[in-house]
Amino acid sequence: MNMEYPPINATIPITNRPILLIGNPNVGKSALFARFTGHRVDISNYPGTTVELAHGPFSVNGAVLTLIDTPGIHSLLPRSDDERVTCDVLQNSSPWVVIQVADTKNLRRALLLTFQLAEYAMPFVLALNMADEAESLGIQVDTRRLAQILGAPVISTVATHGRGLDDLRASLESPRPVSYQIHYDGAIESAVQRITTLLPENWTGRRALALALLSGEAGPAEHARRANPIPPETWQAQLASIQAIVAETAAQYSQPLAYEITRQRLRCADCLLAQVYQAAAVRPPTLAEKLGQIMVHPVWGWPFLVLVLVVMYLFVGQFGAGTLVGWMEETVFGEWLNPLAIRAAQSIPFSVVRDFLVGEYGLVTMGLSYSLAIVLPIVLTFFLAFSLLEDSGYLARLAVMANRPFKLMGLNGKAVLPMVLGLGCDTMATLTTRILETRKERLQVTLLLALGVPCSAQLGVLLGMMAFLSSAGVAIWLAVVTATLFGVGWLAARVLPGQRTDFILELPPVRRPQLGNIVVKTLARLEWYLKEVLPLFILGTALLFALDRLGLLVWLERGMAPLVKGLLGLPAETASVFLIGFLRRDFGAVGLFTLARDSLLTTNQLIISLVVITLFIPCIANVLMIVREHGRRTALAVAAFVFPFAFAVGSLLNLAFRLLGIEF
Amino acid sequence: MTSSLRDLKPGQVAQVVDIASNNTDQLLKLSALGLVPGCFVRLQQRFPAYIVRVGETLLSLDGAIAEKILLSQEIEQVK
Repeated sequence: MNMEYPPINATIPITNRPILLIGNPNVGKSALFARFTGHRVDISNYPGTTVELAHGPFSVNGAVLTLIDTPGIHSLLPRSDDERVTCDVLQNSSPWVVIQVADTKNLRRALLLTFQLAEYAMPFVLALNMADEAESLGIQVDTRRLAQILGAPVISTVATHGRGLDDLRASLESPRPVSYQIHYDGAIESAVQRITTLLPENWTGRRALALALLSGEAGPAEHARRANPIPPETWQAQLASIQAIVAETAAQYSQPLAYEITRQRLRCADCLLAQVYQAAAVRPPTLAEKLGQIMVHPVWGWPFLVLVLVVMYLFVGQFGAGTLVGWMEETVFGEWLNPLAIRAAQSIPFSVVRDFLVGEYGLVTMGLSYSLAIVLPIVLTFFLAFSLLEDSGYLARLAVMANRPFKLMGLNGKAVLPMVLGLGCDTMATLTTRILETRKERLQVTLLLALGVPCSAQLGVLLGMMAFLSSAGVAIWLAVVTATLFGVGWLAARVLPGQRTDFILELPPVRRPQLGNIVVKTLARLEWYLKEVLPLFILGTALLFALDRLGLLVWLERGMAPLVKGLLGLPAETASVFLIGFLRRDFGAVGLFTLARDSLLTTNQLIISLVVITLFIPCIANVLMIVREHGRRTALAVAAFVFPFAFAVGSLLNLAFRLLGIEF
Repeated sequence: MTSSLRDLKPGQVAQVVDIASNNTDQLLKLSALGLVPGCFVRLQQRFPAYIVRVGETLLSLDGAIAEKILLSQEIEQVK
C-alpha cells in the first residue's frame, strides 16, 4: 500500500489527484472546505444533474492539490443523484486521500459510511467535526482508541473556529487505507469472497464492488470496468456467475440483501461505539433543539410559519421586487443601458436588425431588461432567503408542517421545497423537482407549478393589482386558486400512473446559519440562473419578435378575442394582455393594470382576469424547462391542459358570478 | 398484541423489534438513517407528523410508516 501512496513532497506534482471531502448531510463539510481553500471556490454542476461540486486549491506541505467538496450522503449505495455523484467522483478521481467529515455526536451514522469507505480501500482520514457541540452535550469520544481500531487517523475538529485543522492537515501527509474491515455473517462473507475473486485484480475497491453487487447495484462495478476494460464476453460470463452467487445468497435471508448488509454494518457500528463513545443517557434539550421543537409544534408551529412567510415577503416582495427592481428597471436600464443600446443601434442600417435588438420585442430592450432588471433582483433576494431557511434547518421542518395538506394533493411534505421555490421562479423550481423520488411525483409537482404557483414576477404584479380589489375579492381569488391546486393535485394523483412514496425525512439540527455558506450557495444558484434561465428568456423574446414580424401575434389576438369576450365576459382588449402575459408577464400585467385604472374592467372582470392569469403557465421559459426535464410530449400535454383549463375555470367563475347575481 | 410507534406517547422510549414492511426502498431508507430493529426510538411528537429520535438523528415519518415500526412491550417514560 505504501508503494501505491508515497508521502507527499513538493517535488512530486500530484495536482491531478484530489482530496475528497465526504460525509453525511449537515456535518460541516462546507465550513471545512471554506477553511482549507479560503473561499477560492469553483462550483460546478455534475454533468446531467443539479448536484453541486465545489473545487478549490488546497496546499499540503508545499504541494498544491485540489480539494473537492461532495454532496452530503447517507450511504455509498448509489440510489439517489447525490449518492451516485459521490460514488462517481470517488471511483473516477483516484483521490490522494478521502477525508470523511463526521458530526461527532452522531458517530453512529458516520461509521456506516466509514465502513463503506474502508471497503473501497482508499487512503482515509476521519475528521470528527463539531467537537465543541458534542462536548457541551457531555458526549465523549475516545479518538485515540477509535484511530487504533480503524487503523487510520482520527482528528477532532471544529471547522467553524479552525480548531484541529493543523492536525488534520498534518495527517494528510502519509495517508493509508483503513485497516479495519467488517466481517459479515457466514453466507454474505463467503459470497463477498467468491465475487471478489471473479473481479479483475486491477479493479480498485473490489470488496466494495462485490458488496454493491450483492446489494443489487451494478453501477460501481460498471464504473471500474470503464476505467480498466475487460472483453465484454468475459465480463458477461463473470456477471452471470456473480448473479448466480447473489441469487443463491439472497435465498438464505428473509430480507433483501442490501438491507441485511446495512443492518450488519449498523450492528458493527454499535459494537464499536460501545468501546469509544460515551454519552449521558438522558440530557435536557438544548436551546436550539427547543427552537426546533417550536418550529414543528402542533400549535406554535403555525404562527412561526406565518412569521417566516411575513419576513420573507418583506424581504423578497418589498425590498427585492419593489426597491431593487425599481432601481434596476428605471435607473440602470431605463436611464443608462437602454438609451445606450438604442444609440449604438442607430448605426445599424437594417431596421429589422435594429428592431430585433432594441425594438418593442428587442433582445436588449425586452429580453435582457426583463430577465436582468425585473427577474434577477427578485430571484437574488429569494435565493438568499431560501439559503437562509435551508441552512438554519427550517426548510425540512416546513416539510413536516406541510405534510398533511400535501397528502390531500397526493404528495408528501417533501414537495413543499420545489413549491416554495416556485414562488421565486417556477422555471428553476421545475428543475429541482428532481429531489422527489418517483417520476409520478415529479410530473405532478411540475404540473402544479405551471398551473397554480405564481412566480415572484407574477406575484409582484398580482399584489399591485389587488389594490383595486376589496378583501372579499382577494379572498375569492385565493380560494379559487387554492381549490384548483388541490383539486388538480388530487385528480393528478389518481390519473397519473405510478406510486406515491411515503414521507421519511431527516430533520437536520437547528443551527445558526453561516454567512459564508449562504453567500456561496446563493452565488452558485445565481450563476445557474444566468447560465440556464437567461438564454431561455432570450429565446422567448426572439420567438415573440418572430411572431410579431410575421403578423401572427395580431392574428392570435383576434382568434382569442371571442373566447375572452364570450366565455370570460371580458373586454376584447384583454386577449392581448393574456397573450403577451405568457411571453412577458409584466407587460401583460401592465396592460391589465391600465385597463383597471381606466375603469374599463368591473371588479368582477378584474377577479376573473387575475384568476386566469395566475393559472396560466408563468412564462415561456417554464415551458422550455418542462421540455428539457420531461420531454416535448409531456410539455405539450401540460400546456394543452393548463391553457384551456385556466379558461374553463375563468368561465365557470364568470358563470357563477352571473347566476348567483354576485356583483362587487 | 404488538405495539407500534403509533401507540407510543410523546416522551416515551422503546426498542424497535421489527419493521413490518416489504417495501425494500422504505427499509433501505430507514436503515441508512439508522433506524433498524434493535435500536431505541424516542417519540417527540405525533402531529402534524411523527418525529422520532434515534440516537442523535431526528426523523420525521408518516403515520403509515409509524404503524409498521413495531416496538417491544417495555416502554420507558423519560421526562
